[in-house]
Amino acid sequence: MSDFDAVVLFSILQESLDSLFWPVLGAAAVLALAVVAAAVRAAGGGRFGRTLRHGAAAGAVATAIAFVLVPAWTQADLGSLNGATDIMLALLFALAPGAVAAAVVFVASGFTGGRPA
Amino acid sequence: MRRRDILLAGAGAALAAAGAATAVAASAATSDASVRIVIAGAGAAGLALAARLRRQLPRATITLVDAKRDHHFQLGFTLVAAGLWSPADVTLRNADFVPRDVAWVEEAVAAFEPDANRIVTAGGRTIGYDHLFVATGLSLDYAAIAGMDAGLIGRDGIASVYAGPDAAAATARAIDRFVETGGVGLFTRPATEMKCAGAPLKIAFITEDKARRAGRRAGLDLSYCAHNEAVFALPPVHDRVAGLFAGRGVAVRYGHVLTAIEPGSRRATFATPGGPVELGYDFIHVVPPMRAPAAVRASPLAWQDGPLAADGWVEVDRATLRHRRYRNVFAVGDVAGVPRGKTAASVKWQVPVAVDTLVAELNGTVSTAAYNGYTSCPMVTGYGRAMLIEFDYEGRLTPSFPFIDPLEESWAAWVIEEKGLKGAYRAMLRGRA
Repeated sequence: MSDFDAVVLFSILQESLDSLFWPVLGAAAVLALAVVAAAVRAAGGGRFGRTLRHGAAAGAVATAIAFVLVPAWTQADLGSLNGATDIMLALLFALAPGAVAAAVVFVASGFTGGRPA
Repeated sequence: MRRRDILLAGAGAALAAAGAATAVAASAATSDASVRIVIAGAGAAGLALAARLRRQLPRATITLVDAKRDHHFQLGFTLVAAGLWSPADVTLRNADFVPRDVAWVEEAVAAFEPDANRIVTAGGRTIGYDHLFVATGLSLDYAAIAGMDAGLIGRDGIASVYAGPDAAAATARAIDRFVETGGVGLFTRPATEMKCAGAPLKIAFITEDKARRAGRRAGLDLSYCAHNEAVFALPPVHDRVAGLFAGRGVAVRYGHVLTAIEPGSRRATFATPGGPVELGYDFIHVVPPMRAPAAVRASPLAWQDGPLAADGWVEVDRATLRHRRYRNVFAVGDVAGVPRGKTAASVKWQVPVAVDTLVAELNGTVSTAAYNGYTSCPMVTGYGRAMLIEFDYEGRLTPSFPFIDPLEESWAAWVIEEKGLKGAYRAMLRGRA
Protein backbone atom coordinates (compact mmCIF):
# COMPACT_ATOMS: atom_id res chain seq x y z
CA MET A 1 0.00 0.00 0.00
CA SER A 2 3.02 2.30 0.42
CA ASP A 3 5.35 3.71 -2.15
CA PHE A 4 2.74 5.54 -4.25
CA ASP A 5 4.47 8.08 -6.44
CA ALA A 6 2.98 9.89 -9.45
CA VAL A 7 4.05 7.21 -11.90
CA VAL A 8 2.62 4.42 -9.78
CA LEU A 9 -0.63 6.29 -9.26
CA PHE A 10 -0.87 6.94 -12.99
CA SER A 11 -0.40 3.24 -13.68
CA ILE A 12 -2.98 2.25 -11.10
CA LEU A 13 -5.49 4.71 -12.53
CA GLN A 14 -4.81 3.44 -16.03
CA GLU A 15 -5.28 -0.17 -14.98
CA SER A 16 -8.38 0.69 -12.95
CA LEU A 17 -10.10 2.38 -15.89
CA ASP A 18 -8.73 -0.15 -18.38
CA SER A 19 -10.22 0.51 -21.83
CA LEU A 20 -11.95 3.65 -20.58
CA PHE A 21 -8.70 5.33 -19.56
CA TRP A 22 -7.78 7.11 -22.79
CA PRO A 23 -11.37 8.09 -23.69
CA VAL A 24 -11.79 9.58 -20.20
CA LEU A 25 -8.46 11.38 -20.46
CA GLY A 26 -9.39 12.66 -23.91
CA ALA A 27 -12.77 13.88 -22.71
CA ALA A 28 -11.12 15.62 -19.75
CA ALA A 29 -8.68 17.35 -22.08
CA VAL A 30 -11.48 18.50 -24.38
CA LEU A 31 -13.46 19.79 -21.40
CA ALA A 32 -10.40 21.62 -20.05
CA LEU A 33 -9.86 23.34 -23.38
CA ALA A 34 -13.55 24.21 -23.52
CA VAL A 35 -13.31 25.75 -20.05
CA VAL A 36 -10.36 27.90 -21.11
CA ALA A 37 -12.15 28.95 -24.28
CA ALA A 38 -15.33 29.77 -22.37
CA ALA A 39 -13.35 31.74 -19.82
CA VAL A 40 -11.71 33.78 -22.55
CA ARG A 41 -15.04 34.42 -24.24
CA ALA A 42 -16.82 35.29 -20.99
CA ALA A 43 -14.02 37.62 -19.95
CA GLY A 44 -14.17 39.32 -23.33
CA GLY A 45 -17.91 39.82 -22.89
CA GLY A 46 -17.59 41.11 -19.34
CA ARG A 47 -19.47 38.01 -18.06
CA PHE A 48 -16.69 36.15 -16.30
CA GLY A 49 -18.05 36.64 -12.80
CA ARG A 50 -21.55 35.52 -13.73
CA THR A 51 -20.21 32.52 -15.64
CA LEU A 52 -18.07 31.54 -12.68
CA ARG A 53 -21.07 31.76 -10.33
CA HIS A 54 -23.16 29.55 -12.63
CA GLY A 55 -20.43 26.92 -12.76
CA ALA A 56 -19.82 27.03 -9.01
CA ALA A 57 -23.51 26.63 -8.24
CA ALA A 58 -23.86 23.66 -10.55
CA GLY A 59 -20.71 22.12 -9.10
CA ALA A 60 -21.94 22.53 -5.53
CA VAL A 61 -25.30 20.92 -6.28
CA ALA A 62 -23.71 18.05 -8.20
CA THR A 63 -21.16 17.46 -5.45
CA ALA A 64 -23.89 17.31 -2.81
CA ILE A 65 -25.88 14.78 -4.81
CA ALA A 66 -22.77 12.76 -5.59
CA PHE A 67 -21.75 12.70 -1.93
CA VAL A 68 -24.97 10.90 -1.06
CA LEU A 69 -24.49 8.44 -3.90
CA VAL A 70 -20.76 7.72 -3.52
CA PRO A 71 -21.15 4.93 -0.91
CA ALA A 72 -23.60 3.13 -3.20
CA TRP A 73 -20.99 3.34 -5.96
CA THR A 74 -18.77 1.22 -3.70
CA GLN A 75 -21.58 -1.22 -2.88
CA ALA A 76 -22.00 0.25 0.59
CA ASP A 77 -24.52 2.61 2.11
CA LEU A 78 -24.36 6.08 3.64
CA GLY A 79 -24.30 4.54 7.10
CA SER A 80 -20.91 3.01 6.32
CA LEU A 81 -19.23 6.39 6.63
CA ASN A 82 -17.52 6.29 9.99
CA GLY A 83 -15.71 9.44 11.04
CA ALA A 84 -14.01 12.42 9.47
CA THR A 85 -11.68 10.42 7.22
CA ASP A 86 -14.56 8.57 5.58
CA ILE A 87 -16.55 11.77 5.11
CA MET A 88 -13.60 13.62 3.59
CA LEU A 89 -12.87 10.73 1.27
CA ALA A 90 -16.50 10.57 0.15
CA LEU A 91 -16.40 14.32 -0.46
CA LEU A 92 -13.23 13.94 -2.48
CA PHE A 93 -14.84 11.32 -4.69
CA ALA A 94 -17.97 13.49 -5.01
CA LEU A 95 -15.87 16.41 -6.19
CA ALA A 96 -15.06 14.54 -9.42
CA PRO A 97 -18.61 14.60 -10.82
CA GLY A 98 -19.05 17.97 -9.15
CA ALA A 99 -16.10 19.37 -11.07
CA VAL A 100 -17.42 17.94 -14.31
CA ALA A 101 -20.84 19.51 -13.73
CA ALA A 102 -19.22 22.83 -12.84
CA ALA A 103 -17.09 22.73 -15.98
CA VAL A 104 -19.99 21.84 -18.28
CA VAL A 105 -22.20 24.61 -16.91
CA PHE A 106 -19.29 27.05 -16.99
CA VAL A 107 -18.71 26.27 -20.65
CA ALA A 108 -22.41 26.53 -21.48
CA SER A 109 -22.73 29.80 -19.61
CA GLY A 110 -19.53 31.18 -21.08
CA PHE A 111 -20.63 30.60 -24.63
CA THR A 112 -24.19 31.86 -24.25
CA GLY A 113 -25.06 35.53 -24.08
CA GLY A 114 -23.60 38.05 -26.52
CA ARG A 115 -20.82 40.55 -26.07
CA PRO A 116 -21.78 43.96 -24.66
CA ALA A 117 -22.65 46.49 -27.32
CA MET B 1 -10.52 39.22 -15.09
CA ARG B 2 -8.82 40.09 -18.36
CA ARG B 3 -8.61 37.71 -21.30
CA ARG B 4 -4.82 37.81 -21.32
CA ASP B 5 -4.69 36.87 -17.62
CA ILE B 6 -6.87 33.84 -18.26
CA LEU B 7 -4.78 32.69 -21.18
CA LEU B 8 -1.60 33.03 -19.15
CA ALA B 9 -3.13 31.17 -16.24
CA GLY B 10 -4.30 28.38 -18.52
CA ALA B 11 -0.89 28.02 -20.11
CA GLY B 12 0.74 27.92 -16.70
CA ALA B 13 -1.62 25.21 -15.52
CA ALA B 14 -0.95 23.14 -18.61
CA LEU B 15 2.80 23.40 -18.10
CA ALA B 16 2.48 22.43 -14.46
CA ALA B 17 0.39 19.40 -15.39
CA ALA B 18 2.90 18.34 -18.00
CA GLY B 19 5.68 18.67 -15.47
CA ALA B 20 3.82 16.55 -12.95
CA ALA B 21 3.04 13.98 -15.58
CA THR B 22 6.68 13.52 -16.41
CA ALA B 23 7.72 12.92 -12.82
CA VAL B 24 9.98 9.91 -12.90
CA ALA B 25 10.09 7.29 -10.22
CA ALA B 26 13.46 6.21 -8.92
CA SER B 27 14.82 4.14 -11.79
CA ALA B 28 15.68 0.51 -11.09
CA ALA B 29 19.15 -0.84 -11.82
CA THR B 30 19.64 -2.77 -15.05
CA SER B 31 22.18 -5.23 -16.34
CA ASP B 32 23.25 -6.26 -19.84
CA ALA B 33 23.97 -9.81 -18.71
CA SER B 34 22.81 -12.45 -21.20
CA VAL B 35 21.55 -14.96 -18.68
CA ARG B 36 18.85 -17.60 -18.92
CA ILE B 37 16.07 -17.07 -16.42
CA VAL B 38 13.20 -19.43 -15.74
CA ILE B 39 10.14 -18.34 -13.76
CA ALA B 40 8.07 -21.23 -12.47
CA GLY B 41 4.49 -19.99 -12.16
CA ALA B 42 2.47 -17.22 -13.78
CA GLY B 43 0.45 -16.07 -10.84
CA ALA B 44 0.81 -12.67 -9.21
CA ALA B 45 4.47 -13.21 -8.35
CA GLY B 46 5.41 -14.86 -11.63
CA LEU B 47 3.94 -12.19 -13.87
CA ALA B 48 5.29 -9.35 -11.74
CA LEU B 49 8.73 -10.98 -11.85
CA ALA B 50 8.53 -11.42 -15.62
CA ALA B 51 7.67 -7.76 -16.13
CA ARG B 52 10.45 -6.39 -13.94
CA LEU B 53 13.08 -8.87 -15.11
CA ARG B 54 12.24 -8.05 -18.73
CA ARG B 55 12.84 -4.35 -18.10
CA GLN B 56 15.88 -4.66 -15.88
CA LEU B 57 17.62 -7.45 -17.84
CA PRO B 58 16.97 -6.51 -21.47
CA ARG B 59 19.40 -9.10 -22.85
CA ALA B 60 18.31 -12.02 -20.67
CA THR B 61 16.36 -14.97 -22.04
CA ILE B 62 13.30 -15.26 -19.84
CA THR B 63 10.97 -18.24 -19.83
CA LEU B 64 7.71 -18.34 -17.91
CA VAL B 65 6.34 -21.81 -17.16
CA ASP B 66 2.68 -22.29 -16.22
CA ALA B 67 -0.16 -24.28 -17.75
CA LYS B 68 -2.88 -21.91 -16.54
CA ARG B 69 -4.39 -19.49 -19.02
CA ASP B 70 -6.82 -17.90 -16.60
CA HIS B 71 -5.44 -15.55 -13.99
CA HIS B 72 -7.47 -15.10 -10.84
CA PHE B 73 -7.58 -11.87 -8.90
CA GLN B 74 -7.83 -13.73 -5.61
CA LEU B 75 -8.21 -10.59 -3.53
CA GLY B 76 -11.68 -10.28 -5.03
CA PHE B 77 -12.86 -13.74 -3.98
CA THR B 78 -14.21 -12.34 -0.71
CA LEU B 79 -16.37 -9.86 -2.61
CA VAL B 80 -17.65 -12.68 -4.82
CA ALA B 81 -18.53 -14.64 -1.70
CA ALA B 82 -20.29 -11.54 -0.38
CA GLY B 83 -22.47 -11.58 -3.48
CA LEU B 84 -21.14 -8.23 -4.69
CA TRP B 85 -18.87 -9.31 -7.53
CA SER B 86 -19.20 -12.01 -10.15
CA PRO B 87 -16.64 -14.69 -11.07
CA ALA B 88 -15.93 -12.74 -14.25
CA ASP B 89 -14.87 -9.75 -12.17
CA VAL B 90 -11.98 -11.77 -10.72
CA THR B 91 -10.89 -13.61 -13.86
CA LEU B 92 -8.15 -12.17 -16.05
CA ARG B 93 -6.11 -13.70 -18.86
CA ASN B 94 -2.45 -14.48 -18.35
CA ALA B 95 -1.89 -13.74 -22.03
CA ASP B 96 -2.75 -10.10 -21.42
CA PHE B 97 0.06 -9.74 -18.89
CA VAL B 98 2.92 -11.89 -20.17
CA PRO B 99 5.47 -9.33 -21.34
CA ARG B 100 6.64 -9.19 -24.93
CA ASP B 101 9.85 -11.10 -25.47
CA VAL B 102 9.16 -13.44 -22.56
CA ALA B 103 8.66 -17.02 -23.70
CA TRP B 104 5.66 -18.72 -22.13
CA VAL B 105 5.70 -22.51 -21.84
CA GLU B 106 2.09 -23.49 -21.22
CA GLU B 107 2.85 -26.54 -19.12
CA ALA B 108 3.04 -27.18 -15.41
CA VAL B 109 6.35 -27.76 -13.71
CA ALA B 110 6.61 -31.44 -12.82
CA ALA B 111 10.04 -31.44 -11.20
CA PHE B 112 12.76 -29.12 -9.98
CA GLU B 113 16.36 -30.31 -10.40
CA PRO B 114 18.41 -27.49 -8.90
CA ASP B 115 21.59 -29.55 -8.78
CA ALA B 116 21.42 -29.71 -12.56
CA ASN B 117 20.04 -26.16 -12.90
CA ARG B 118 16.94 -27.30 -14.72
CA ILE B 119 13.25 -27.94 -14.40
CA VAL B 120 11.14 -30.61 -16.05
CA THR B 121 7.67 -29.83 -17.32
CA ALA B 122 4.59 -32.05 -17.21
CA GLY B 123 5.05 -32.58 -20.92
CA GLY B 124 8.56 -33.94 -20.36
CA ARG B 125 10.41 -30.85 -21.56
CA THR B 126 13.66 -30.04 -19.80
CA ILE B 127 14.45 -26.35 -19.41
CA GLY B 128 17.85 -25.29 -18.16
CA TYR B 129 18.53 -22.00 -16.41
CA ASP B 130 21.20 -19.78 -14.99
CA HIS B 131 18.73 -18.40 -12.49
CA LEU B 132 15.41 -19.76 -11.30
CA PHE B 133 12.50 -17.92 -9.70
CA VAL B 134 10.04 -20.24 -8.01
CA ALA B 135 6.62 -18.58 -7.96
CA THR B 136 4.31 -21.56 -8.12
CA GLY B 137 1.91 -20.46 -5.44
CA LEU B 138 0.58 -23.11 -3.09
CA SER B 139 -1.75 -26.08 -3.11
CA LEU B 140 -5.08 -26.30 -1.33
CA ASP B 141 -5.14 -29.70 0.35
CA TYR B 142 -8.86 -30.36 0.75
CA ALA B 143 -8.12 -34.09 0.81
CA ALA B 144 -6.32 -33.64 4.12
CA ILE B 145 -9.77 -33.21 5.68
CA ALA B 146 -11.36 -36.64 5.74
CA GLY B 147 -14.58 -36.66 3.76
CA MET B 148 -13.90 -33.29 2.14
CA ASP B 149 -13.55 -32.64 -1.57
CA ALA B 150 -13.58 -29.38 -3.50
CA GLY B 151 -16.54 -30.72 -5.46
CA LEU B 152 -18.67 -30.47 -2.32
CA ILE B 153 -18.41 -26.69 -2.19
CA GLY B 154 -21.86 -25.19 -2.53
CA ARG B 155 -23.64 -28.40 -1.52
CA ASP B 156 -25.15 -29.48 1.81
CA GLY B 157 -24.15 -26.29 3.58
CA ILE B 158 -20.46 -26.51 2.64
CA ALA B 159 -18.70 -23.35 1.55
CA SER B 160 -15.09 -22.45 0.80
CA VAL B 161 -13.96 -19.20 -0.70
CA TYR B 162 -10.41 -20.28 -1.61
CA ALA B 163 -11.00 -22.84 -4.34
CA GLY B 164 -11.66 -20.35 -7.11
CA PRO B 165 -14.17 -17.86 -8.54
CA ASP B 166 -16.89 -20.45 -8.99
CA ALA B 167 -16.34 -21.77 -5.47
CA ALA B 168 -16.56 -18.21 -4.15
CA ALA B 169 -19.86 -17.75 -6.00
CA ALA B 170 -21.10 -21.07 -4.64
CA THR B 171 -20.09 -19.82 -1.19
CA ALA B 172 -22.23 -16.73 -1.71
CA ARG B 173 -25.22 -18.92 -2.56
CA ALA B 174 -24.56 -21.17 0.41
CA ILE B 175 -24.43 -18.14 2.71
CA ASP B 176 -27.73 -16.89 1.30
CA ARG B 177 -29.38 -20.25 1.91
CA PHE B 178 -27.99 -20.38 5.42
CA VAL B 179 -29.23 -16.89 6.22
CA GLU B 180 -32.65 -17.89 4.95
CA THR B 181 -32.91 -21.21 6.79
CA GLY B 182 -30.86 -20.44 9.91
CA GLY B 183 -29.10 -22.90 12.18
CA VAL B 184 -25.51 -23.50 13.24
CA GLY B 185 -22.70 -21.97 11.22
CA LEU B 186 -19.04 -22.92 11.65
CA PHE B 187 -16.07 -21.03 10.23
CA THR B 188 -12.75 -22.85 10.19
CA ARG B 189 -9.06 -22.11 9.83
CA PRO B 190 -6.28 -24.68 9.23
CA ALA B 191 -3.23 -25.16 11.39
CA THR B 192 -0.87 -24.79 8.44
CA GLU B 193 0.56 -21.62 6.91
CA MET B 194 -2.04 -20.10 4.64
CA LYS B 195 -2.60 -17.31 2.19
CA CYS B 196 -4.70 -14.37 3.27
CA ALA B 197 -5.15 -15.43 6.87
CA GLY B 198 -7.86 -12.82 7.26
CA ALA B 199 -10.22 -14.42 4.75
CA PRO B 200 -11.75 -16.98 7.16
CA LEU B 201 -12.59 -14.11 9.48
CA LYS B 202 -13.99 -12.01 6.64
CA ILE B 203 -16.44 -14.75 5.65
CA ALA B 204 -17.66 -14.96 9.24
CA PHE B 205 -18.14 -11.18 9.39
CA ILE B 206 -19.92 -11.09 6.04
CA THR B 207 -22.29 -13.89 6.99
CA GLU B 208 -23.14 -12.24 10.29
CA ASP B 209 -23.72 -8.86 8.66
CA LYS B 210 -25.81 -10.31 5.87
CA ALA B 211 -28.04 -12.07 8.37
CA ARG B 212 -28.36 -8.94 10.49
CA ARG B 213 -29.31 -6.77 7.50
CA ALA B 214 -31.87 -9.37 6.45
CA GLY B 215 -33.41 -9.34 9.93
CA ARG B 216 -32.55 -13.01 10.39
CA ARG B 217 -29.62 -12.82 12.78
CA ALA B 218 -31.54 -14.33 15.67
CA GLY B 219 -31.90 -17.58 13.79
CA LEU B 220 -28.14 -18.09 13.37
CA ASP B 221 -25.74 -19.60 15.88
CA LEU B 222 -22.28 -18.66 14.62
CA SER B 223 -18.92 -20.00 15.78
CA TYR B 224 -15.43 -19.21 14.54
CA CYS B 225 -13.08 -22.16 15.06
CA ALA B 226 -9.60 -20.77 15.67
CA HIS B 227 -6.72 -23.19 15.17
CA ASN B 228 -4.88 -22.01 18.27
CA GLU B 229 -5.42 -19.57 21.14
CA ALA B 230 -5.90 -16.51 18.96
CA VAL B 231 -8.07 -15.43 16.06
CA PHE B 232 -5.16 -13.51 14.54
CA ALA B 233 -1.41 -13.77 15.02
CA LEU B 234 -0.97 -10.13 16.05
CA PRO B 235 -2.22 -9.53 19.61
CA PRO B 236 -3.75 -6.08 18.97
CA VAL B 237 -5.60 -7.43 15.96
CA HIS B 238 -6.69 -10.49 17.89
CA ASP B 239 -8.04 -8.27 20.64
CA ARG B 240 -9.91 -6.09 18.17
CA VAL B 241 -11.40 -8.96 16.16
CA ALA B 242 -12.30 -10.95 19.26
CA GLY B 243 -14.04 -7.85 20.57
CA LEU B 244 -15.99 -7.42 17.36
CA PHE B 245 -16.98 -11.08 17.41
CA ALA B 246 -18.12 -10.78 21.01
CA GLY B 247 -20.16 -7.69 20.22
CA ARG B 248 -21.87 -9.45 17.32
CA GLY B 249 -22.56 -12.70 19.08
CA VAL B 250 -20.03 -14.79 17.14
CA ALA B 251 -18.61 -17.39 19.50
CA VAL B 252 -14.97 -18.40 19.22
CA ARG B 253 -13.85 -21.98 19.75
CA TYR B 254 -10.11 -21.84 20.33
CA GLY B 255 -7.84 -24.73 19.48
CA HIS B 256 -10.24 -26.34 17.01
CA VAL B 257 -8.76 -27.69 13.79
CA LEU B 258 -11.10 -29.34 11.28
CA THR B 259 -10.00 -32.90 10.54
CA ALA B 260 -13.09 -34.59 9.10
CA ILE B 261 -16.49 -33.80 7.69
CA GLU B 262 -19.60 -35.89 7.03
CA PRO B 263 -21.61 -33.98 4.43
CA GLY B 264 -24.66 -36.19 4.61
CA SER B 265 -25.20 -35.89 8.32
CA ARG B 266 -23.61 -32.46 8.55
CA ARG B 267 -21.17 -33.39 11.27
CA ALA B 268 -17.64 -31.99 11.53
CA THR B 269 -14.81 -33.35 13.63
CA PHE B 270 -12.19 -31.08 15.12
CA ALA B 271 -8.86 -31.88 16.74
CA THR B 272 -8.58 -30.01 20.03
CA PRO B 273 -6.07 -30.09 22.88
CA GLY B 274 -8.55 -32.15 24.83
CA GLY B 275 -9.17 -34.67 22.08
CA PRO B 276 -11.52 -34.90 19.06
CA VAL B 277 -14.73 -32.89 19.21
CA GLU B 278 -17.67 -33.46 16.91
CA LEU B 279 -19.98 -30.58 16.04
CA GLY B 280 -23.13 -30.52 14.00
CA TYR B 281 -23.59 -27.74 11.50
CA ASP B 282 -26.05 -26.35 9.00
CA PHE B 283 -23.36 -24.28 7.30
CA ILE B 284 -19.61 -24.68 7.40
CA HIS B 285 -16.93 -22.55 5.74
CA VAL B 286 -14.03 -24.88 5.11
CA VAL B 287 -10.52 -23.52 4.77
CA PRO B 288 -8.19 -26.35 3.71
CA PRO B 289 -4.66 -26.96 4.90
CA MET B 290 -2.20 -25.37 2.49
CA ARG B 291 1.14 -26.65 1.32
CA ALA B 292 3.73 -26.08 -1.34
CA PRO B 293 2.89 -27.80 -4.65
CA ALA B 294 3.97 -31.42 -4.95
CA ALA B 295 6.82 -30.66 -7.35
CA VAL B 296 8.33 -28.26 -4.83
CA ARG B 297 7.78 -30.53 -1.82
CA ALA B 298 9.52 -33.38 -3.63
CA SER B 299 12.50 -31.24 -4.59
CA PRO B 300 15.67 -30.28 -2.71
CA LEU B 301 14.40 -26.69 -2.69
CA ALA B 302 12.14 -27.21 0.29
CA TRP B 303 13.16 -26.51 3.87
CA GLN B 304 14.81 -29.67 5.17
CA ASP B 305 14.12 -29.01 8.83
CA GLY B 306 12.48 -26.46 11.06
CA PRO B 307 8.90 -25.23 11.37
CA LEU B 308 8.50 -24.64 7.62
CA ALA B 309 9.73 -28.07 6.53
CA ALA B 310 6.55 -30.07 7.03
CA ASP B 311 4.64 -28.40 4.21
CA GLY B 312 7.48 -28.07 1.72
CA TRP B 313 7.90 -24.30 1.56
CA VAL B 314 11.02 -23.17 -0.30
CA GLU B 315 14.02 -22.50 1.91
CA VAL B 316 14.88 -18.85 1.31
CA ASP B 317 16.52 -16.02 3.17
CA ARG B 318 13.68 -13.99 4.58
CA ALA B 319 15.18 -10.66 3.55
CA THR B 320 16.37 -11.33 -0.01
CA LEU B 321 14.12 -14.31 -0.94
CA ARG B 322 17.27 -16.01 -2.26
CA HIS B 323 17.56 -19.75 -1.63
CA ARG B 324 19.83 -20.50 1.30
CA ARG B 325 21.55 -23.45 -0.45
CA TYR B 326 21.05 -22.88 -4.15
CA ARG B 327 22.37 -19.37 -4.71
CA ASN B 328 20.92 -19.03 -8.20
CA VAL B 329 17.37 -19.74 -7.03
CA PHE B 330 14.81 -17.35 -5.59
CA ALA B 331 11.28 -18.00 -4.33
CA VAL B 332 8.63 -15.32 -4.30
CA GLY B 333 5.01 -15.28 -3.22
CA ASP B 334 3.00 -17.93 -1.41
CA VAL B 335 5.55 -20.71 -1.95
CA ALA B 336 8.38 -18.82 -0.25
CA GLY B 337 9.25 -20.30 3.11
CA VAL B 338 9.27 -17.12 5.18
CA PRO B 339 7.48 -16.45 8.46
CA ARG B 340 4.86 -14.14 6.94
CA GLY B 341 3.87 -12.77 3.60
CA LYS B 342 1.34 -14.91 1.82
CA THR B 343 -0.63 -12.02 0.39
CA ALA B 344 -0.58 -10.11 -2.89
CA ALA B 345 0.67 -7.04 -1.06
CA SER B 346 3.64 -9.10 0.10
CA VAL B 347 4.37 -10.01 -3.53
CA LYS B 348 4.38 -6.32 -4.42
CA TRP B 349 7.31 -5.81 -2.05
CA GLN B 350 9.06 -9.15 -2.53
CA VAL B 351 9.40 -9.00 -6.31
CA PRO B 352 11.55 -5.84 -6.55
CA VAL B 353 13.81 -7.11 -3.76
CA ALA B 354 14.46 -10.44 -5.48
CA VAL B 355 14.98 -8.81 -8.87
CA ASP B 356 17.25 -6.07 -7.54
CA THR B 357 19.28 -8.67 -5.63
CA LEU B 358 19.93 -10.63 -8.82
CA VAL B 359 20.63 -7.55 -10.93
CA ALA B 360 23.12 -6.25 -8.39
CA GLU B 361 24.91 -9.58 -8.36
CA LEU B 362 25.11 -9.58 -12.15
CA ASN B 363 26.59 -6.10 -11.98
CA GLY B 364 29.18 -7.23 -9.44
CA THR B 365 27.63 -5.28 -6.62
CA VAL B 366 25.42 -6.05 -3.63
CA SER B 367 21.86 -4.87 -3.34
CA THR B 368 20.69 -3.25 -0.13
CA ALA B 369 17.05 -4.06 -0.87
CA ALA B 370 15.41 -6.21 1.76
CA TYR B 371 11.92 -7.57 2.32
CA ASN B 372 10.70 -6.79 5.82
CA GLY B 373 7.81 -9.24 5.90
CA TYR B 374 5.23 -6.67 4.84
CA THR B 375 1.80 -8.28 4.79
CA SER B 376 -1.50 -6.57 4.24
CA CYS B 377 -4.98 -7.69 5.07
CA PRO B 378 -7.91 -5.43 4.23
CA MET B 379 -10.16 -7.21 6.69
CA VAL B 380 -13.77 -6.81 5.66
CA THR B 381 -15.86 -6.64 8.82
CA GLY B 382 -19.21 -6.02 7.18
CA TYR B 383 -20.76 -4.65 4.03
CA GLY B 384 -19.14 -1.26 3.49
CA ARG B 385 -16.62 -1.59 6.32
CA ALA B 386 -13.12 -2.95 6.67
CA MET B 387 -9.95 -2.61 8.71
CA LEU B 388 -6.73 -2.04 6.80
CA ILE B 389 -4.26 -4.19 8.70
CA GLU B 390 -0.62 -4.08 7.61
CA PHE B 391 2.33 -5.53 9.48
CA ASP B 392 5.89 -6.78 9.17
CA TYR B 393 7.96 -9.76 10.27
CA GLU B 394 8.20 -8.40 13.80
CA GLY B 395 4.44 -8.15 14.13
CA ARG B 396 4.51 -4.36 14.10
CA LEU B 397 1.55 -2.62 12.54
CA THR B 398 2.86 -0.61 9.59
CA PRO B 399 0.00 1.52 8.23
CA SER B 400 0.58 3.04 4.83
CA PHE B 401 -2.02 5.75 5.24
CA PRO B 402 -1.64 7.80 8.42
CA PHE B 403 -5.28 8.89 8.26
CA ILE B 404 -6.64 5.33 8.37
CA ASP B 405 -6.54 3.73 11.82
CA PRO B 406 -5.70 0.05 11.16
CA LEU B 407 -7.83 -1.18 14.03
CA GLU B 408 -10.91 0.89 13.29
CA GLU B 409 -13.60 -0.14 10.86
CA SER B 410 -13.82 2.37 8.07
CA TRP B 411 -15.44 2.90 4.71
CA ALA B 412 -12.08 4.18 3.48
CA ALA B 413 -10.54 0.73 4.01
CA TRP B 414 -13.57 -0.81 2.27
CA VAL B 415 -13.07 1.54 -0.71
CA ILE B 416 -9.46 0.38 -1.01
CA GLU B 417 -10.74 -3.22 -1.11
CA GLU B 418 -13.68 -2.65 -3.45
CA LYS B 419 -12.32 0.03 -5.77
CA GLY B 420 -8.57 0.35 -5.38
CA LEU B 421 -6.98 -3.07 -5.18
CA LYS B 422 -7.77 -4.43 -8.62
CA GLY B 423 -6.12 -1.56 -10.48
CA ALA B 424 -3.12 -1.68 -8.17
CA TYR B 425 -2.90 -5.45 -8.66
CA ARG B 426 -2.97 -5.16 -12.44
CA ALA B 427 -0.30 -2.48 -12.30
CA MET B 428 1.78 -4.82 -10.14
CA LEU B 429 1.45 -7.60 -12.75
CA ARG B 430 2.96 -5.19 -15.29
CA GLY B 431 5.80 -4.36 -12.94
CA ARG B 432 4.63 -0.77 -12.52
CA ALA B 433 3.54 -0.90 -8.88
